[in-house]
Amino acid sequence: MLSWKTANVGRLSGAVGLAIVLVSGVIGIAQRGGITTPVFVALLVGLGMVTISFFSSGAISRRQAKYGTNMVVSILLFGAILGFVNYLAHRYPQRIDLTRQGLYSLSDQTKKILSNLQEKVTAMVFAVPGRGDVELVQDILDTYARQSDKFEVKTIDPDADPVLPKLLKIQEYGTVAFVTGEELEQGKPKRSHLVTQSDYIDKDYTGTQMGRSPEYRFKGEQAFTTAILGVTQGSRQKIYFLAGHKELRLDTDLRAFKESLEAENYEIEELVLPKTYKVPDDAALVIIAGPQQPLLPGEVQVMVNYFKGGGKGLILPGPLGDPSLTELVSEFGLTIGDDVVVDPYSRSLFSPYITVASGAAYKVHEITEGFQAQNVMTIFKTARSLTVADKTDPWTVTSLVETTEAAWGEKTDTRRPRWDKDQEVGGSIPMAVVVQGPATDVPAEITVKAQSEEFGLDEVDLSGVPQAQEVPSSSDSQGPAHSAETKASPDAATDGSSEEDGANQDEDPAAEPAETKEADEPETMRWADETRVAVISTVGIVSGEDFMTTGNRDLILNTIGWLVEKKDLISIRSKDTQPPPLRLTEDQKNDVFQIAVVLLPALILAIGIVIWRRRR
Amino acid sequence: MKKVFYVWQREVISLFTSPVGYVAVAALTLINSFFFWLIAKSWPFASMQPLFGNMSITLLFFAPAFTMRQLAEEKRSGTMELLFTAPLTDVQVVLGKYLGAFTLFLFSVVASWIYPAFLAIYGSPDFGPIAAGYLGLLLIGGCYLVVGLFVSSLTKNQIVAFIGSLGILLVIFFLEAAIQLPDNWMMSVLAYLSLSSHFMPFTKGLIDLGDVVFYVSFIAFFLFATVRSVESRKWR
Repeated sequence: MLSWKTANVGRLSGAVGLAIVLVSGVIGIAQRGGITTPVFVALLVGLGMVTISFFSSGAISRRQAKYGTNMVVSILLFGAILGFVNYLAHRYPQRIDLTRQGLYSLSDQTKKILSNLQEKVTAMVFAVPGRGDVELVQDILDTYARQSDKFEVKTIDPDADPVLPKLLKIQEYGTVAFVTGEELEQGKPKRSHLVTQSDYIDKDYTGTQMGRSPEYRFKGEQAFTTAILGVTQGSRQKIYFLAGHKELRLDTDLRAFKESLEAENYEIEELVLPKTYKVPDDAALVIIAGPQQPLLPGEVQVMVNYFKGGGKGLILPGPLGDPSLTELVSEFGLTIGDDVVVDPYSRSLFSPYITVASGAAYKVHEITEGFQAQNVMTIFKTARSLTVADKTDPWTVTSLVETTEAAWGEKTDTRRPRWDKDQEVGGSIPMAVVVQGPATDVPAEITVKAQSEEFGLDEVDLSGVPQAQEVPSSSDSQGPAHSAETKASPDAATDGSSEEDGANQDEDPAAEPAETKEADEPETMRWADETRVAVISTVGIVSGEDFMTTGNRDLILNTIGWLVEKKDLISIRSKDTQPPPLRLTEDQKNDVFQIAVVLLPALILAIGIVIWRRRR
Repeated sequence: MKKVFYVWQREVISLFTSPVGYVAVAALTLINSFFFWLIAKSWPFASMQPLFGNMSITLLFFAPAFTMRQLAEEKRSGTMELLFTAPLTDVQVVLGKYLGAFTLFLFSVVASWIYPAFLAIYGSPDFGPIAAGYLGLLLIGGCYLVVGLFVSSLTKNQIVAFIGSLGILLVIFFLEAAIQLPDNWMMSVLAYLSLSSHFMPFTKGLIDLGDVVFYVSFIAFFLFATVRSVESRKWR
């Protein structure tokens, strides 16, 4: 017989315990992220109190309580042992991939790279939970994580956690960010590299017009392993934006473009040539983005020499005519028209001066690979016509995007443009071209009086001009074959505006001492063997909203990747993401229905009935 | 082991000589076949991956029907005491009954081999994921059955056994979907206990030691709990 006091304590304990269980349960359900440790402890305490109440209520005998406890403890103990076995299986994972092409197996290259990781790498998959489109990505990255303790995978819902996507400049769902460094939560990661869906999946829609499904090939392992190498080993390539001529501003007009480049692990800096007199040694690429004032003749010469010596450049003219850019590209057999391209067959609905390129507009080149198949659309606003000379030796000029045959370069500002055959270029007009050619021997150290005058200095060492890898030592480079005097003179002589422009250079007196110092220490630089320059007919392609919302971003980033010769550091074959095809005819579908849906269940049922009747 | 075999034999004879088992297997096959036909006519790939997902859910509703009467009915009809007065241990009785239910389930699995046969006739399927998928199906089916057997050991009422085991299975199956992105260790443990999350890799052609260990542990745990539950008749 229980005492009155014990019974009351039992009842009280039960009531309080039940209340704790209910309240902590409600909190656990209500709070975001589920049951936290305090809630879990509260639940345990509540359940314990309810149990005490149960035992003290006299509902079960001491014997039953003893055996019951014994049973519960033995089950919990057995569960704990199994839990430990599961922990071991989780800690030392083993997996067999039975897919025909080893879809979930890593190449030896990847395994080696992962086993040699020196610092922690985190792969962040930005995806909405439950959506199947990144399932394969997560599976593959899980395989990476199994291979190395220093590799971690996180799935982040960009809608629920918008801070990280903003920090890492994530633009689309399905992007995977590879980051290193422990300080991620406090701010920017040490290094990051973004891999978007188009980087890890090849989509081919060519068969869709014939009723076939689009084909997907997964190249995630190559993209992911390259990204890991990029964030752990590779140094960041530096891209310089030419400044000082009222170019589009990096922080406003070109903000999205700049952020995309940073997300691709490039380092961005402005380049003011009248201050440096040279393109810096560490430049992987120089971008000239819509200068509204002409480049000084000395600047043009530095840029020409830089490009010819194996430099890489992306030239994006603005809508206003600029003779200095025309002069610069003329070195490669190109002309930038003082006009606006009008293409009546691929113009925008909103303006005849906006050309929308798609389908056959893309020419065969690794930059535009897959553009036709994937129906990529690029928008060229107020583009200027590009003309390629008949002879461009030693340069090879390849067109990336062209208008239709009906296009022309409109020179008059009018709402209803018409082609003036005598004054305006017409036909298929290149909208983007790339120039390739061997780097020429340019002296490592040149002193050019004419050029120095353009910068406002009498004697300036233009040691920054590029040289080819095979360039002889500075003393040898004084030879007559490629004397700077002979190379520079025609340019200087043909430019009638040199005196006028030279006056502007007085604005930067600080440049003189620095350059005088450099004159004492001529630099020798190593340049790539090949010159690569891309000219795209409008700077509008990288500015404004169109850059992010159309194929402009793909075109530009592919072009930059090609210019800086950014190749995948490793090569791993891509894999089919789709199972083998199965196309049933109507008769075959009927056969499946009749045999599998009707006959088979009926047969099982019939057997059952026969056996049942026999037994009866 | 011989005694386990005797119990298993008794169970199999009981299950295969009554129409209930056949009706259950025929209904399960009908639903699976219907899904297979729907997928084959609209999804142009020779793969069983989506079908395995459907089969695992359909089976979740049928497995309690396979096991609901195994111990509950013995209790209700009083044959339980007869069984335990035979020279058998509780472990042998539970194992024999479990294997009996598993055999009935195996019968339904064998009936479903017609689907890969169709795929092989009309296409060129990758048999690796199909084999892995069937292994996963056997393991997850084993888990469903053991939960059914355990709940059946707790009650005399078949309906209670059916609804009870279905409820438990639904909760355990969809645990991961409810949690989605676990952000603490408790949520991670709960997500780990989800039956569905361990099944998906099999359907893709992956046999993960961790998943196999999980399912085997799950079955072992509930078999142990069932044995202890059956034993409890001695002191309750």
